[in-house]
Amino acid sequence: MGYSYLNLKDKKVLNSTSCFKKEQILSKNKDIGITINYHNNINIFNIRGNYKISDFQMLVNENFKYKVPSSIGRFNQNKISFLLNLGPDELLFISLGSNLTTIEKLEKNLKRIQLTITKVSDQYEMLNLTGKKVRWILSKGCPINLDKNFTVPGLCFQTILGHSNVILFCKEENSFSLLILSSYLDYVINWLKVSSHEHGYKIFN
Amino acid sequence: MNLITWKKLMSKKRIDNFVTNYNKKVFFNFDGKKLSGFEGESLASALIANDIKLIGRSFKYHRPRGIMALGSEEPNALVRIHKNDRIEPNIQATKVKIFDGLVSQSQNRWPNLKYDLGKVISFFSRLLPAGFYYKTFMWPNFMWKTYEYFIRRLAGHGKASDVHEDPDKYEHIHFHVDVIIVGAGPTGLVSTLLTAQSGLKTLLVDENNYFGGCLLYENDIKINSLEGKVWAYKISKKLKKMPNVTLLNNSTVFGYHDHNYITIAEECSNYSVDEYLTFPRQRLWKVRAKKVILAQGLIERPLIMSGNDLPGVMLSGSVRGYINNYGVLPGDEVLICTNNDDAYRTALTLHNVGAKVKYVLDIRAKAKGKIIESVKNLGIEVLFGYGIASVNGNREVKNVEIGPLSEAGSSIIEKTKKIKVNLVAVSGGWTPSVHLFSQSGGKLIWDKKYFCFKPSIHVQEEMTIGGTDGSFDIKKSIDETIGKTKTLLKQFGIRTFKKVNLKIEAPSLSNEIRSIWRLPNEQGKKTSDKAFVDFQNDVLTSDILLASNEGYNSIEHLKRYTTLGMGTDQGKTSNMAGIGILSNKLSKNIEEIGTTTYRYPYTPVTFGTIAGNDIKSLFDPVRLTKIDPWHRLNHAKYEHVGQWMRAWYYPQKNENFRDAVNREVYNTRQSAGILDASTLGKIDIKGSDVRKFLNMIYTNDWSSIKKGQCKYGLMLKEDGMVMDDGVTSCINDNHFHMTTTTTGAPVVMSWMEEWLQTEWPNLDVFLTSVTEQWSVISIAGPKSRDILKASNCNVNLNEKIFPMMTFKDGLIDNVPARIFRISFTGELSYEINVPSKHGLRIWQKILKNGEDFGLMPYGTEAMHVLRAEKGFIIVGQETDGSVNPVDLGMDWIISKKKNDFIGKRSLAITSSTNDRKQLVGIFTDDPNKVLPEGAHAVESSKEKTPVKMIGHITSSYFSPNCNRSIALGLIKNGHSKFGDTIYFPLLDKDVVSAKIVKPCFFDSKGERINGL
Amino acid sequence: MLNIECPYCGLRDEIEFSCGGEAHIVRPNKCHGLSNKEWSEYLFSRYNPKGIFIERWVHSSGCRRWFNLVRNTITNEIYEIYKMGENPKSKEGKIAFKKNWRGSHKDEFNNLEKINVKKKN
Repeated sequence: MGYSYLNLKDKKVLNSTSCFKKEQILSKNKDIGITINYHNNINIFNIRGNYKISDFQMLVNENFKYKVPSSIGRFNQNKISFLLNLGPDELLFISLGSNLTTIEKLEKNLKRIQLTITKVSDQYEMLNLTGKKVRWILSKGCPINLDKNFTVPGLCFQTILGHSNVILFCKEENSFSLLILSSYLDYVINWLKVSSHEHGYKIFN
Repeated sequence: MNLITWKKLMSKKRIDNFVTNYNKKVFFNFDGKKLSGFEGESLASALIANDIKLIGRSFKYHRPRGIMALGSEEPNALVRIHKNDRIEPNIQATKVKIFDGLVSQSQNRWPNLKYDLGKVISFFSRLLPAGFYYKTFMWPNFMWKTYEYFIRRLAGHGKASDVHEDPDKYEHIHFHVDVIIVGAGPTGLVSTLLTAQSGLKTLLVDENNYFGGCLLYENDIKINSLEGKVWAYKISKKLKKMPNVTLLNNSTVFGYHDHNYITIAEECSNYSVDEYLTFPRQRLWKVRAKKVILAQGLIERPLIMSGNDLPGVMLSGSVRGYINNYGVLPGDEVLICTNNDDAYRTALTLHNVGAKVKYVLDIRAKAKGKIIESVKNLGIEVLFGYGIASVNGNREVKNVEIGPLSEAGSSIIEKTKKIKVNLVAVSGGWTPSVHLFSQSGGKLIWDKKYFCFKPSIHVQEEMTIGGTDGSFDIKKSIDETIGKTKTLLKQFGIRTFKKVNLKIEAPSLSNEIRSIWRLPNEQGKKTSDKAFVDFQNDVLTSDILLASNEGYNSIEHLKRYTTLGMGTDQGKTSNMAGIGILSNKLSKNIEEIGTTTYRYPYTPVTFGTIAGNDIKSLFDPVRLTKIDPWHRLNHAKYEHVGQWMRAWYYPQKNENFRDAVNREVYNTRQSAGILDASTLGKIDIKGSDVRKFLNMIYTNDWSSIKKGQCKYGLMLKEDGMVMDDGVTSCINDNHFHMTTTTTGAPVVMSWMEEWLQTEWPNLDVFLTSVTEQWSVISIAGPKSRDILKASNCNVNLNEKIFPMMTFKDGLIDNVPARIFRISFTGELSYEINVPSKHGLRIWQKILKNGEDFGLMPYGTEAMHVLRAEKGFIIVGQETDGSVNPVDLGMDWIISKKKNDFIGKRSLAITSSTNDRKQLVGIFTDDPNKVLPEGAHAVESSKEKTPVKMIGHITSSYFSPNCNRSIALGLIKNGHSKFGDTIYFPLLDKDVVSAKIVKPCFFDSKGERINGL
Repeated sequence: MLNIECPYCGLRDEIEFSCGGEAHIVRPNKCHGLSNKEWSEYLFSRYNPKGIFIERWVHSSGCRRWFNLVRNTITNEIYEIYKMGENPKSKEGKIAFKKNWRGSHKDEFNNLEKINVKKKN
């Protein structure tokens, strides 16, 4: 038999197994219109239930120092986490880094107040997109109005980018994050590369 | 705009000392001849400058044709453009902007343009009127293929490119604006200025390279004492500086869709740009505008008379345009024929550049006005009540026959006079460009004064201004525009406006027109009926009359029978005349005839533009599992399962497909096999009403399944047919984990959400898709337990502790895992779920340890064979939406206890019907013969055709474990036919005999499941 | 390309949605009491008017919520969008709703509505 195996401790191997090869292409004027970087270590939880409960508000406020976003399509954040309001009974909690104890506490407490919490950390990949041309490039495949006066920081959208469903949220004027299903990563990176080619792009891990 | 005077070139038709925007000298090629021109001017203009009149041959009759118009309304001058790998046929010469090295060719002629053999067809023209193909070439029947061969070669315009790879890049862009203004003519620019100054997000779109619209083509309009085009240039410069304004030139708005969705085709870089695949050549703008302002202006109509399609007959406004914008003179011995005042401006323009206007024929009985007087004062003879009886010449205009018209305008009352000319400028009136307005759903009204259809009822959030609105006086138009725009802006809450001071000097035209749709021929002379209405499709006035005689009296029927208005120019210069001629013939008012439905695109749009970058690797996402890098490294062959690429088989050394699959299937039952099953759908279901919900979704009973147990479930659609299946496990009373098929994952998720939201919102159930959260590694075979034990797994795998159809949580190599004892192969099997980040690592760990036990990876093909050996169904293979559980022999899965579940009511009907196709096994008499899937079964091999088909093969393989071929099929009344012989006639004429057997070919007692 | 205002996410392009056909079709609770004809009517017969039509849509590439929409099938004008489980309030919606040809299940629908209202805690 004798099958071949990948050495998963080797960074080179890890890089080559994903489409995340470090890559850079400059535009005609030698700029980089968009920088794409990949957030490695994140934990994501899907919270569902009828959560118009003040207990939940208190919990979130206590643990993360921000409120539950008031309306659908908004999110709140602090340095290490985001809480997105995605629907009338659906929230998405993203934690950067592995601050799991807070999450576990949250999970226990949420169960008590009859909200369901499902771990989906491996379901999504998160891409950070920054640069002057981000809005223009995203508009090539996303039907949302990405004008800087309309899509302001604090807004999140469940929409499409090309042929992939995405969750898009605007952190700053030229800074967005994209959540995509991990099996679409190849496609989305490819799409971003083709669409950014003339503007110059940089991809890193 | 560089105002540089340029010198007289070799070409005779350029006007001395004329100032234009185009000043870089370039060389281009037309039909093999090297010619000179200026970069950026249209090919039509450059050809006129080089005194080339013959540009192409017409569609049907191969008549010589030349340039008739200025812009996208041009019906005749279709050319083929080359630049290295880029070849594009059927482009209007009026739209091509020349550059150094451009190669262009005329079309539809052989062997060359001057001596085209296709001309022969003209002699048969009496056999080829409108609709001829319904009457000729009908007999004999078998000859149609031969006729078709020749007709195809003779018909059509251009030839497509032989190069199969389009080297260019295209893209799409979504854009949201407050106001979009279509058309940058005088009214469009004024409206844009007002809108932009109020701070709203504005988009101005125009077909041409420079903004100004008609101002570019006229020399008698002054705005604020500036020449029209200079004023337009100033305004566009001002607009360019504003951050809230986007200007799009060289862009055509080709579609006005629902809810102010506007599609625009932008020509980003012309052929001269060599950077393939980096910069897009064409871009599709998908614009959503809160308000749309249409300012597309007017399109001129020709007059129709015998011989009106000869090169040298041009629209009078276009003649002016070539002179004023490009500085080229299409002819110096001119006759003008008109039914309105506008053509008098052409007379003035021609005279001022030194051309000789022989006569101005005005078909109106009389007309007065400043402009007519100024023409007369130049010594040009104006003849009222006169018309052109015929235009004559071989390949270009040589002379015209003119004569006085009768009072009714239906005949020429005296002998005609022959006038020698080389240019005939005709004007039959102007039509507001209402295409986009009509596409928006707006309704038109007939204007009796100006003889045109104009906008009347607006349906969407749009407004029309200027010529599009049916306004013919530029001063009035601009005033109206300012008022209308302010009203529109008020709807955005804008109250204050910057003062707009515009002093406009323009000729005043009374513009009362007379309509004679077809000018009469000379009396007595044999009537030549070559009076063309639609130039591009060679439609004559006689064709329209013929169609009407044959009963095609509705304008939509007329269009399709004669092909009037169906060319790439969409009848821009011809539709109005067609309606007019029909209305005369039927003695009906034009309003009663109406127009045909305006559809998009306004001008042709390339497939490239529509495809954007959704091509090749971006055409459809390819989804891969996290374990895929291992499959790739080990040379797996793949197959598509929905959007996923799954490992199909793993060939070793020089194995072919069959050998590899046989090895994988055999080995799995001998030692063990490992499969990447990560693509299977997984749905996390939580809530206090989960059991109730599952009881409705599945056919079997879920009230008693305990924590830690797994159960196989079958899902039906409301019509009782099988929709999906999977194993669902109980994690606790309020938490279940459901699995579905790979392609069923999104379908089942949407299905369940639909029921929960629309029918049972009172149920406390929440769904979360976790398909990609877990990697699933499936080990099957007698050695699986040993292999798992050796992989650092802390779960007790003892048979009593971990029985079939249960699951356990634990750790494998310190990674949290959930291990299910589910078997799709009938062997001892463990489905290991780990968070997908760890999928690759755990796969490698298990396989490495397992190699010593004989563990081999197997792909989807082997998986199909293994489950078929046991007779397990695959939804989508054995089922096709018309198969219910009873057909599959799965009565046992339909709960008798449950009151109701989705599909139960329908089963009461369908399960009692006779003659249904039922799932059975098929053993071919020759054990080595593998039937093709889909093969149809018949009862006897001796029946005469047509033979009744009694079923088909759904799955068919060679089974190395049974050492013979096996197949599953759906055969009518199969369950009562075990032992019968049936026959399968194949495509290669072979008839294979087979027996119907029970659909389980291996281990029918199910003894291998515990691996003991 | 319709511009649809999802009651949860706001105005979005039609491409993010999927159409679910005729709205206000209630699954009969006592389906076994129905004749085959009545059952097949529920399963297969769908209204297809030229004019005002109430249909249901789902925001498949967004929040995945179902909602109802009153549309003119000739001009594509959208008169009203309202949440699943509610009744139309616009003039056109009310007219179309009254015209609902599935008379026999109207009572069931009204009962179900009462259950939904109770459910909201």
